[in-house]
Amino acid sequence: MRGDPFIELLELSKSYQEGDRTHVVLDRATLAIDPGELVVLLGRSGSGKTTLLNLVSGIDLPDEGGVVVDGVSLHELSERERTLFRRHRIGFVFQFFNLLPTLTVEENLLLPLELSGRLGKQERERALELLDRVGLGARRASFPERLSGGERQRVAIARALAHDPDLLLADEPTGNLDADTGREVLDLIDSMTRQEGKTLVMATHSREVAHVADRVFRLDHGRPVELSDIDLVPPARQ
Amino acid sequence: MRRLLIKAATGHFRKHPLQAAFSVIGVALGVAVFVGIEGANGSALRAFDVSTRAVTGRTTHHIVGESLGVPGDLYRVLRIELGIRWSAPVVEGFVFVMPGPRSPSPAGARRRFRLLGVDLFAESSFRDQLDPRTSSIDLAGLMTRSGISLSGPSARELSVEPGDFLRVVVAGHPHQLEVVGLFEPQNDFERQASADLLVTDIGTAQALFGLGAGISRIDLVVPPDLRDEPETALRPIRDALPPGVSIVRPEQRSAAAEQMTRAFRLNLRALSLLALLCGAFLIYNTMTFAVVQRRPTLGILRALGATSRELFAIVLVEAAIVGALGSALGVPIGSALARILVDRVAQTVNDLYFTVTVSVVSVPLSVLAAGVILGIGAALVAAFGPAAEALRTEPRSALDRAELEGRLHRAVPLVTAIGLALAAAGSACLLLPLTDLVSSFMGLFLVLLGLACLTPATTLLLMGVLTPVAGGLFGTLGRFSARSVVAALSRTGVAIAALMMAVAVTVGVDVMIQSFRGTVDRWLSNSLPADLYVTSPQALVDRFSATPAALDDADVAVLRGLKGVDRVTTVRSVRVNSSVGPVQLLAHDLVEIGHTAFRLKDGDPAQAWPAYERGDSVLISEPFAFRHRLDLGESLSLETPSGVRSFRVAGIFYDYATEEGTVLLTQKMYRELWSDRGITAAALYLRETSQDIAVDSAPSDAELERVKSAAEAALGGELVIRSNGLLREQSLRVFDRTFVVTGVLRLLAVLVAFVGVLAALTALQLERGRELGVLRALGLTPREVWTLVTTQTGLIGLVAGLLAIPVGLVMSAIMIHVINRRSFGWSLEMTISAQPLVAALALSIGAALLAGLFPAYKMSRTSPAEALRGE
Repeated sequence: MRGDPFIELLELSKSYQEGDRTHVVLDRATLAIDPGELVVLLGRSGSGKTTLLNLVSGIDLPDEGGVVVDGVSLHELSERERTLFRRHRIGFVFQFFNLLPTLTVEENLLLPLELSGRLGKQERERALELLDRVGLGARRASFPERLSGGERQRVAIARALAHDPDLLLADEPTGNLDADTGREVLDLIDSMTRQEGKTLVMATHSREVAHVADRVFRLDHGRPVELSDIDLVPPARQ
Repeated sequence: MRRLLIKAATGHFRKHPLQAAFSVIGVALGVAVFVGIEGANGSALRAFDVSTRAVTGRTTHHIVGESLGVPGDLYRVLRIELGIRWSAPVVEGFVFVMPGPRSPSPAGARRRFRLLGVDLFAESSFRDQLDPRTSSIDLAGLMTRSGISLSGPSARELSVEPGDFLRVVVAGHPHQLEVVGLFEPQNDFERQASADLLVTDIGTAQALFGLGAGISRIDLVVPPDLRDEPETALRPIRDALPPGVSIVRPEQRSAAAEQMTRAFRLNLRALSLLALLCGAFLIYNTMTFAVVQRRPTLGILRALGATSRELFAIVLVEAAIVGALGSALGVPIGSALARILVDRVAQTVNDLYFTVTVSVVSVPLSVLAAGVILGIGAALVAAFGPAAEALRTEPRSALDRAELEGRLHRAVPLVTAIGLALAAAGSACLLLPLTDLVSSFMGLFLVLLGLACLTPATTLLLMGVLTPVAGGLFGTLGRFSARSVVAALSRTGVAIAALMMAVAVTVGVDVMIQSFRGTVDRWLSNSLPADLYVTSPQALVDRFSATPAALDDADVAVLRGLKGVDRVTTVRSVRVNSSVGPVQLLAHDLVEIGHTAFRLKDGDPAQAWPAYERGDSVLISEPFAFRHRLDLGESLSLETPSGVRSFRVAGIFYDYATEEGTVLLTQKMYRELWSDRGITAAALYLRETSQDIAVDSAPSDAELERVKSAAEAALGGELVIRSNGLLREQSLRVFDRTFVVTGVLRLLAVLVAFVGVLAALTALQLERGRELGVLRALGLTPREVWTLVTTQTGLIGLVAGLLAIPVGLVMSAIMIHVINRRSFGWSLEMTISAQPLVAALALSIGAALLAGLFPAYKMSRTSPAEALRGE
């Protein structure tokens, strides 16, 4: 028997206008994710994965339906309330790392803590410990431009967890990395979120990522469809 | 050029029309300021030229004397003894005309007119005003009833008709003159020419100006058959001329006016070019942004086979289009600006140089063309750097931003070295013993450009100090804001330089004006020791025309006899010919008071004053010495009615009254040599009312008013009697008026820079969209985004303001010690007070914050999803 879901998508719809055409990205999508669950969203480019993450984080608003995270209906909140919710409860990992180039590694790491007003001694130590855990404790004074792609993404993971959010959203976190580095980063995300007991929603187009997931969904015509283990076996092996 | 290539390369501006619009506005403002100033200057000069030609008519030569005119007997000699029938006598001077009883103008609103007295019998071949075909003048009335005629439009403005009487004030004395006819201008030129002209019979004019049989000049029309060799025709006339009288060509008067105002006009032109320079910075800024932001596109185009030359050409063509659009917009704005500025320019010309009424404002095609060429030229020059950047684009898809910025940071020492070299070259132009203004302005521009090149290095230094401060105040976001300024130095550097330049102009001009005003104020306090000054309105109107004496010895005796008057000193101010051309001669009867009123810059007072008082030496003013390269001990020859007399220069005194300069001679010697007992102005010293030196012994306002009323009653007429306080106040008002145009230009330069900063910040924030999107995703509220952007723009303003202060002070020092000296020959004491410096800092930060409002608003409103999606 499942308890209350941590994330609920309620008949979620989102479309974009492209000239005269309306491009439907999400069409009455419904989904429930449990606390501490690691969910992977699969889909081709343009299938609506990023849009779905933006809606779950409150960055964007649905045309219809709603998003409930930990009992909070995001679609009913104001812009400011959604931002503050995101600030305190959500961590982000992007495909292009999106570290702020003018801040050092340490400053990038501490920024979410500072924004949420929780930059105390303990929190700072915990954040730096995260940096040690991703193996970059010695690079805290470096600027992002000095780091490799894999290192930047490891800093981004640490940053996403620095303020101890309940939910981690990762948008193609390995999409810009080579295969080996991608695997390392994925393992890191997996281990760290599980250790910290966080809920993780990861969007990717790579089926190989699926092995770390508790459940895997494919976005099909704007709706998430759960895939079984059979579905996830590469065609050649079936 | 290939259509798709152009479309791909120029898509940036189509996508971001606002950036293109800012550039166009920048050029437009720069061009508008140039066209406006040139148009206003040109209109004032043309008005003088036109009104001079109106009274010149077909005259080919003038016989002129000093300001006392030409002896009337000379005309008789020419006409009768030498048989020169192509000569006509003229009396010319300025008068005030009161509006007619039906005029809507207020009763006290007097208007200045040029009064031309002509000999009706000799006149027909000279001027058209009395031509029966275009005028309705009762010639008999003109001669027999002391009548006057004026142009139809002027008569309608004054609400008078033929048969009415006009109240005309000459040398302070009112006269009623009958309007005996009107002449109708046939075109715009004639309308302008006759706007301030009254024509009367020569006898009437002689009587009005108190010239007796004297005349202002004799006009000559060399007959067509003698014009091939005019000198042959003129030789017998030259032989008959008495000392102090010479033959000049009419165009020499306009040339003299042009020469007289050259420095003034050049100063204004330089300021207008400074506005254009700010505009050029703006274009450089936008084009740099456009190229940098398009690097991936340009890289792809290179990879697809576009040559670097094609990309170079595309950027230059874009700049030329921006320049052309800006010029097209700037030219009509400039023409409108000329109409706004012309009154102020004309007022200054009237205050400082000569009388002119500008009724037609036109901007010649040459100025419009120059504006367009300058606009497009500035755009092309400014875009050359960015175009070269496009030329270097490698055929790969994108160049890392950090790499690009890193390259710029590595180039900072080189840019600094270039800046130092430019500043050194500019300083050389300023320090070399040159006297021409063009090299001075070139020096100023080089120094300014050089200092602008130091902006990246000094910005890095300043931000090194400000980053921890911002971090301390606003935490990581503060440091983020501060570091973003340095991280995007390729963009912020230009914005800071443009704003710094405009604010530096403000500091420079403010400190220069303040120093100038302070010097003039101190000089006025020193040189106005008397309590009351009496003169005629004419003496105030046009110091370069014949100035009838306002007073005579009998008037002075009356003044001396007034109750409460202790002493009266007098001065006669006349124009005389000299070995260096016409000069303004001040013949003073002051003795010991002069020693304090005329403070010597060069010359030992113990020797200079006795030499002056002996009458064999003169004192000359500083601008006079500068203008004519005269030094102590050298001699100056003056043409007197009794022959040429040589005077030794015994001293050079500080004087800020005119840039032409004056020569000081004892009145005793002047009267002896010129036999002229006229007096232009008198200074009254009132009796001290208190014997207690601890008590302020200045006369009370009531006492001044009482003596003033008594003097007015005793002398009659409309003399101008002013206290030294009022005179000082009025002089400073004239001074302030002189700088009104400068103020307008300064404002426009700031406006151009403001648009520049607005453009730079908008582009910068546009580029940082993704970064701000990340911050929004991390939980930054729109308000915090606003704060972030505003902190950054505030820092840009602060840095620009801090840099503008030393640059502005350097600029003002150059203007005070080099440009001003080479323009006018005045020594000014540089005065620096905190007020303009604080104001500059506030202006800089305020302008940057204001310019940051729009991008801050735009970014805070941008959806983070949109920003993260990128361009």
